[in-house]
Parts: sequence; C-alpha cells; structure tokens
Amino acid sequence: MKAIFAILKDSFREAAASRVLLIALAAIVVVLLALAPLSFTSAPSTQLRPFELVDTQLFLQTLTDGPKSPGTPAAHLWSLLKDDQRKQIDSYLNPPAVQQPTGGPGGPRPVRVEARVLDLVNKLLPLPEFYHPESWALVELDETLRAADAADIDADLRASRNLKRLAAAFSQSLVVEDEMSLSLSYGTMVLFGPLQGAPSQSSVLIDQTIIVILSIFLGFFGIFSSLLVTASIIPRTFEPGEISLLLSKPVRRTVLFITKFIGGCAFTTLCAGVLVTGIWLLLWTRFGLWRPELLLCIPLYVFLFAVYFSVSALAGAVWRNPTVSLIIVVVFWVVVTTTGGIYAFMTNGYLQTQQLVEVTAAGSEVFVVDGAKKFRRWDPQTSDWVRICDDGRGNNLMQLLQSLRFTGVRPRIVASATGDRILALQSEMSRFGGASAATLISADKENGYLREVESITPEPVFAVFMNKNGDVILPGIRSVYQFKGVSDQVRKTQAFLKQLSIPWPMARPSQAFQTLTETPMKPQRADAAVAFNISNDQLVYWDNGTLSTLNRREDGVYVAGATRDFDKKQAAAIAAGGEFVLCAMADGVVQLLDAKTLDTLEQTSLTKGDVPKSAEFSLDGSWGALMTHGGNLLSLNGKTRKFLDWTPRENGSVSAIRFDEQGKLLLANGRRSIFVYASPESDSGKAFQGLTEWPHQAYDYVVRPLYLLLPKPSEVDNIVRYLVTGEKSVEISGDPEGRSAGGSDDLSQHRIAFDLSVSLWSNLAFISVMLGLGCLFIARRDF
Amino acid sequence: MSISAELVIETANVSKTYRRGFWGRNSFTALNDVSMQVPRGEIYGLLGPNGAGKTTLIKILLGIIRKSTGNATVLGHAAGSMEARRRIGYLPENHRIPRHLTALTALEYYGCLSGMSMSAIRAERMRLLEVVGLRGREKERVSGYSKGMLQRLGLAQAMLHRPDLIVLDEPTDGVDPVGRREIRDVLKQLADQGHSIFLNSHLLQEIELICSSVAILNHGKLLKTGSVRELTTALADAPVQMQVTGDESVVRRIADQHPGSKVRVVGSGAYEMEIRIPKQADLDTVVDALRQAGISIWRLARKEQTLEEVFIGIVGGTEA
Repeated sequence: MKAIFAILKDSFREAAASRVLLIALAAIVVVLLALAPLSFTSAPSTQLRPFELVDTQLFLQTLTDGPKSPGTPAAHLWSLLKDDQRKQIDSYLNPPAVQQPTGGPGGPRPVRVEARVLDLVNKLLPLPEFYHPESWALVELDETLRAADAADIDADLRASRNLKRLAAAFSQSLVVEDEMSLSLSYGTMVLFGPLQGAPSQSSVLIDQTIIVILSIFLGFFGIFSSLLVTASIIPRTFEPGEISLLLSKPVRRTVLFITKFIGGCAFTTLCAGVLVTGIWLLLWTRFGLWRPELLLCIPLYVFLFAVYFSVSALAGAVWRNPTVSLIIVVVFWVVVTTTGGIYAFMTNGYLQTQQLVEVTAAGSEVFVVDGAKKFRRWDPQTSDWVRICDDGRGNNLMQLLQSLRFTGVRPRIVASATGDRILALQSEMSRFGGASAATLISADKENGYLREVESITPEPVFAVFMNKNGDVILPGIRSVYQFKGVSDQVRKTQAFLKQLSIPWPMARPSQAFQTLTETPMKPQRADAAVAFNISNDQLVYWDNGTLSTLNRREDGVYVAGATRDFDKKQAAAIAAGGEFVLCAMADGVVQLLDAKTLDTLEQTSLTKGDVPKSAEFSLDGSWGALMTHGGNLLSLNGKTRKFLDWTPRENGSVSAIRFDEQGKLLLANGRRSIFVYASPESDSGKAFQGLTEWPHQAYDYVVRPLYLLLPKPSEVDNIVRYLVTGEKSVEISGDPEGRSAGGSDDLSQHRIAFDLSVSLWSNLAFISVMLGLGCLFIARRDF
Repeated sequence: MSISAELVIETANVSKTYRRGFWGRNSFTALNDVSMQVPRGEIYGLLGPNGAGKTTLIKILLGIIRKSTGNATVLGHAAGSMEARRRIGYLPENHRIPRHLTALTALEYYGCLSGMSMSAIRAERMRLLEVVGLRGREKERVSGYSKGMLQRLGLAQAMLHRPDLIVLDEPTDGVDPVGRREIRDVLKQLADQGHSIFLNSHLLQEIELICSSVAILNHGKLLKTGSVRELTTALADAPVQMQVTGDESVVRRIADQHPGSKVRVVGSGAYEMEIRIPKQADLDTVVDALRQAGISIWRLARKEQTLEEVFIGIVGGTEA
C-alpha cells in the first residue's frame, strides 16, 4: 500500500507541478469569479408572459366583442386601440378565406399571433389611461387595485397593477399564476429581464445553464486539456531510464500501471473539483439553491475522462510515445463520437421515420403509418407496403426528420369493416399557438386510397375512433364530436375547383361535425389521453391524474360517468375494451380497472425505467396489451383478469400494436413488418414483412455492432442531466410550442429513457478491457 | 537448486534470446549459457565491451527482463522476485528521475516504493545526501541537476533502504574525477560494512581499483571469472624485469643472448632489463652471468599484467 500511495502522491505532485494545470485552474477560477455577480432579482411582474395567455382566441374574441358591452374592461381596452391594431386583431380572428390545411410539417408556417398579441397588450399596460375605474366596476378587485392610480406613480408599478386588473377582467383567457417576475442581474446591473418564465421555472433555466457549462468546460475542454497533460504520464513512466528504476523496486508491474492510471486522473479530479464545487457554491450562495447532488458530477467527469485516458494509457504502454498516445486518443474520440452520432441519428432519427408506429386491419386490408406519418397499405402483389393518402410531400430527409419533431395528434387510422374507407387525423400548426384543431382526412379504396380532406375539427381533438356502426367519434378538449360527413354540394364544388387547380375550400366544422355533449366539459389538458371502448362507445379520459368516463346515452349524447382521482399527477397511456379500462401510468404502475366504477381489479408494474407508450384492448375486452417506450409488450387476459407472463418474439422492439375485429393482435417489430398473434402464448401466424432497405442493413451489420462494442462516453452527459434535473427520460420530439394536443408530456410521443446502468457498465467494461490489455502487455514485456 | 548462503548472485546456464522482426522469425542471443557465482560482501565487477550482455544480465537478475532459459537466484530468492527486489538497491545506466521531483521528494518516492516508512526515510535521506555530496541542493528540482548530480542522487536512492546487494550500472558515468574518487570511497565503505556490490563499468582502472572479483562477458558468453589479483598475477612465462647498475655493454651483451629482450636506460649507469625466460634454471644462469660480470642487481621480479591487458587479452582472443 505504501507503494500505491507513493505513486498516487507522485501523480498529484506531477499534476501540481504542471503549468497547464495551473493555467486551467486559473481559467476556471476566472470563469467562476466572472459568474459570481450573476443572480436573479425579483420584482412585481409588469408584463403578460406567453404561458399566462392560455386562450389567445378567446381573449381576442372577448376584446373584439367589447364595443357590444359598453362599460366593460373589454370595451375600454378596445377604445384604447388604434384602428390599424383593431384591423390586425380582426384579421387574426377572421382570416381572409377558409384556408387550405397547412399540411403539418413542410407546409407554410402560420403567423404566430400569440407573440403579437402579447406585444400589443404589454404596450398598453404602462399607459395611465389603461385603468378606467368605471369599466372595471363589475370586476372583482381588491381595494388597492380598485382605486385609481396617482398620476405620478412609477410606470413599472402602474404596469404591474394593470396586469392584475387585466387578469381579473379576462379570467377565462388569462391566468397570471405568479405576480412576481425574475430578471437576470450582474451585480447591480440588470442583464435580461423580466424573464419570460415564471420565477418557479427559474430552476429549470439554471439547470439547463449548468448542463451547458459542465458539458463545455468539463465535458470537452476539461477532458481534452487533461488528456493533453496526462498523455505523457504512462509513456514517460515506461521510458527505459525510469522504468528500470521503478521495476527494481518491490512493486508489481500491473500495480504500477493501474496506479499510474489512477494517478493520471488526478488532473481531471482537480479541475472538475474546482469547477463543480465553485458552481455548487455559487448556486448556494447567489441563487439560494442547495444542490449537493451536483457534486456527484466530479466523479462522473473523472469517469468520463477515464474512458479516454484508458486508451491513452494502453497506447502509451505499447508505444511509449506521448505524441502517438495523444493521436490515438484523438482518433478514438473521433471514432466514438462519429459512431455515437450516426447511431443516435439512425436510432432516434432516420429509423424512427421508417418504423411502423400505427397499424390497422380491416377486412382483407392492413394499413400502417410510419414514423414520418406516411400512410401505407399492404400490397399482396409486391409483398411490400405501398404509399397511400399521399399528401404530395416528398421523401426529403430533412422533411422526414422534421415530421418527427412536429408530433401533433397521433396519426391513428380507423377503417370501415371492409377496409374500403379509412379516416385519420392530420395535425395542423396552430395559428394562435397552443393546442390546435386537426384536419380529418379520408381515403376510399375505389379511388385508390387517394387522400381527401374532409374538414378541420371544431377544436383540438385527441383521436378519431369508429364504433361498430361506423360512427366516427372524435373526443376533443371540451366536447365530443361525431363526423357527419360532407354534403354532396360541397364535394361537387371541391371537385370542380380541384380540376381548375384552384385552392378548394373545406367544409366548415359546423357543417361536418355534430357535438355529442350537451354542455362543454372542463377543458382537458393538451397532454391528456383518451380511450374508446368499441363495445359500448364509452370514452375514457385521463387528465393529469384524473380518470373519468363519458357514457353514451341511447340518443347518442355523451354524459359524465365515473371519475377517480389518483395520487400522482402524471401522464398515462389508457385503453378501454369490454368491461375494462387499462391504465398505465408514467411511473410504470399498470392497473386493470372496472369500466363502470373505475375500481382497481389488478395491478402490476413495468420493468424499472420502462415507460408506457400506448395501450389497446380487443373488442370484447378478452385481451389487452400495453406497449412501452422500451419496445416491450405487457398483455393481460380479460377473462381471468390477470396480467400474463407471455411476451412475443418481437419483445424489446415492438413499435405498434392494435387488435383486429377477430381479436387478433397485430404487432409491428420496430421495422417494417407486422406479425399477427391469434392469442396470447401462441406463435405468430401470418406476417406482413416489408422489404428491408439498405440503411437498415447498414445499421444492423455495421453501426449497431460498432456502437455496442465501443464505449459510450457521450452518454455520461445524459447522466449529468439526470443528476442535475432528475429527469429519467426525455422526449426527442414535441411540438415547437410544446402545448399542442399530444404535447410535451404525451406518453405516446417518442422518448428516450436514460438507462444509467447500461451507460455506466458499458464504459466501465471498456475501461476494464483497456487496462486489462495494458496490464497483460506490460506484464509480459521486457524493459 | 541449492543456494549457498555465501553467494548473493548465482546463475546457472542463463540465456536470453530476443525475437526480432514483425513475426519474430529472427532471433538474437544476448546471453548464452551464463553461469556465475558472486560471493557475499564483495565488490564484484562485470566487464565486457558494448553489447556484451552486461545490462541484460543485470536486468534479468532484477526481473526487468525475463530470461529465456536457465536459473538465477539473488540473495537466495528467484531473480526478479519481490523478496529479492526488496533487498536490492539498483542504479541503472542513464537512469531518469522524474523532473518534477527534488532530491528530497525523489528519495521519499523511491524509499516508499522500497517499502520504507516515512520516518525511516526522513532519518536516512539527509545523511545519504551528505554522503553523495548533494547536501544544500536537496530542495532543488532535479530538472536543474547536472549529469553528475543525477548520478549521485541515483546512488543515494540505491543505498537508501540499506540493501544487502547494490547493483550499479556505470555509476561514475558523467561524474568528474573528484566525484569518482568520492563514489569509490563510498562503495568501499559499503563493502566494509558488509554490503555486496555488483558493479558494471567500462572503466577498467576503476574496476581494478575497487573490485575484488570480476567476470568478463563478450557476445553474451562468460569468458572469465576470478579475483582481480588472480587475473593480474604474473604468470610463470611472464617476462622478467630486472633493474641493474654496471657496464652498459655487458648488460646489453647478456640481454642479447635471449631473443625479445629489451634494455632501457633509467638513470646514470642504471638499466632496466626485460627478458623472456620461462625456465627458472635459465633465469639462475642469467643472474649468475650478471653477477660474475660485476653487474649489481637491485630489483628482480616477473612482470604483472594490468586488468586492461588481461581484458584485452581475453576479449581480443575471442575476437580473433
């Protein structure tokens, strides 16, 4: 042990004697000192922030209706607007013509009305004439706000008060959740502010900043400078003059090599220690954030360095040349980074666009949707999937990837019993930001499954379903709708204009959809989940921890059924069938519930870290299935009400599930094949296997084996994210605004789970192999 | 294999063959069947021209190089074993002490590697630095040391843990004449204290001055071993050197009767004769002749060889 401590001590001495270390430490201290004056200053909010404008359309509608109700805040504010501003608002609400659907990604981007409205309102807030006591007479205000402001009042104070008055007057469309706002200050100087986020969101901003700082300063510069400095340690140790001296001492060669390796990590330990501890202290003293878990980043970055340094050590032992050692490390870094990048690009990008994510079987037809939201049909002639419902967009790679980013509503296909007609929803970019309505499209077999645009839904909807009678049901955020179809006159007009290549108008929502609820429901969050029970037309909603049912009366109207509040406010994937509801929550708890009472009948848990993605039930509820983001399948027997141990052969790569009318499970294998299981515990029978394309082969035979073989140092950054934010998974897609139907917390969207153990073990195994080879080489070498 | 307690190094048929070339098809024999014994308490010299295999042999004894065949023991333990290395102090040729260390921290580092406690190192290191003449420079980084200073520090680290056997590979390399004298004195002191020293040096005069025994290697083969005295003692057929006074013509006449004889004037009426007379009877006859001619003989001895002459004779013989 004395020898080991002596070598370690010498390594620290060597690191301390290095000028590079002193320069690096000085640079870190300078950065920390430069960051030290940063802090958040809190002040009453004087501006309306984007997240506080919850319903832009309703706000503008209330404002424009102001003149119809004199003496109201809306009327007063409308009077403050200039003519051009009024016209602008009017144009937002009433576009010049019924537009063509934007076509989702790739289509023209709509004007972001929301930002302009915010700008408009925020310019009004500081005005002395904003508040007119008579106009606010019927609005509930506290005494301070009720009184008119003094003429010499500070502009910020006036804006702050007016913001509260505005929120009180427009409580349906504005919610000022936090009356304070934060500004980023440097010493006494305000750098940015007020920040758009709420004070409660400041920790998120700080977390992201920390991750960026650590990734850049430690993950890149820190590790590279450490490699530069330490590249000579092992080669120099094994230089003839030094190694002869060392090996004459009673020290084992392997101990010498391993200890020198550990000692080489001293440099990174010092740099990481100073930087992380400095950030930790700054957060604590300047921002009041107590984050001891941040200190775990020190060993984590040393571990990351150790991955690269193990290569340097082996090369140094073999060639005994620091330059060669450094070149090999750089080549290794390039190979690992490139392989990781290609793997990530293919796994989370290209292959995602190619895999089948939805499947529907009807009659003799099988329809699928791939990750790029392209619809396809199985063609028995070519034994491959052929494109249907072509929306005219090409196969440009960037468009494919953009389609991943733009998620919108789930592209679920519903088909008539014979498969002659299919319907699906296509997401629209919102003109007002936030949740948006979708376009209902259809395709008929007799037209060769050409895409037909039916209408835009009256409001944002979650999915399209079809019951046994062929009724098309669309659950929305406030109501439930039934698609009644488009009148022949509209169809004829559309066909005529289409022939003339003139943009043809769609049927207005009011003409095409019938509301099936008597009164609007409490608005559902955009990330709510909805399931449809085909056996009885029951709708089941899951909204942030609350499960509720809507039962259909004989007259077709939906009325509220049972409701159950769960302990955890989280997202969930749900399915309904027969007498059951299957509810799989984001934390991995899966429950089988009674469809009438919502009482729990059976419960199980997913493998730790696995997150549910979507669930399906057979028509009679005899077989239920849950697919996870890990590609695993959990199934249950509705007759015995028990979860099954059975898993299909495709387990681990399942990308879509659906039951057909006969209760057979159709299952996509993460690629372009569909397998049909007649019953649980049976082997798959019929299969629809699409042709394998060369990128898949390149992925299977080159990229993936190489990726599995090589370490994954870049994934250590994910662990840092996990440590800093506590997130266990991230969505790699999501609407740019993050609030559309199927938004950021929607479990159905593709997400990557952080598998910390795989990353750690993979890197640890690599380090062990490198050091093992180094020890073997050194033990057998003559010096 | 029986190990004598009186031997610090014993090798039996030790060979070392290096593989060369990409596939290792070519081979080179650095040591060939070397068997030798080094007694305890001696300063033992290892001689040989460059490439003779001296450093290879030393590194095999220390476990730095693995032998191909044969047996070798050091201090009763297998050569290169931890037990053996614990009791050996080694100064390699062209050694390199990390440049960020000072003399003090270097001795601390190597002392710890040798298993010494910090207190023992502290107690010993200043005395040793005094002995090797580095006292006063002990806090300077070795990056500023001269070659001679580095040799002295290397010697100090080899002696630090009071080893039973000190192996020195060219210890006076780069050291000035005064420094060499000091190092020789240190080595003699160590030998007097009972330490065994195994010395490899090119400087034959130095070896002759301090070593009691030597081994001569050439082309990986052990050519000769023995005490310095044995090797340099006059042989029976060595020339006889006589210093005489008297008539020069008489002296030269008698000398000329023996082919190869030389006469050199060393003073007024004083001459040095060198005559090759292998037989004692012939020598007696020459002495009688000189005395009868009135020549005074005041010194007579068979001529001794220097180590260098012995070395060149042995190595030259193999080269021929």
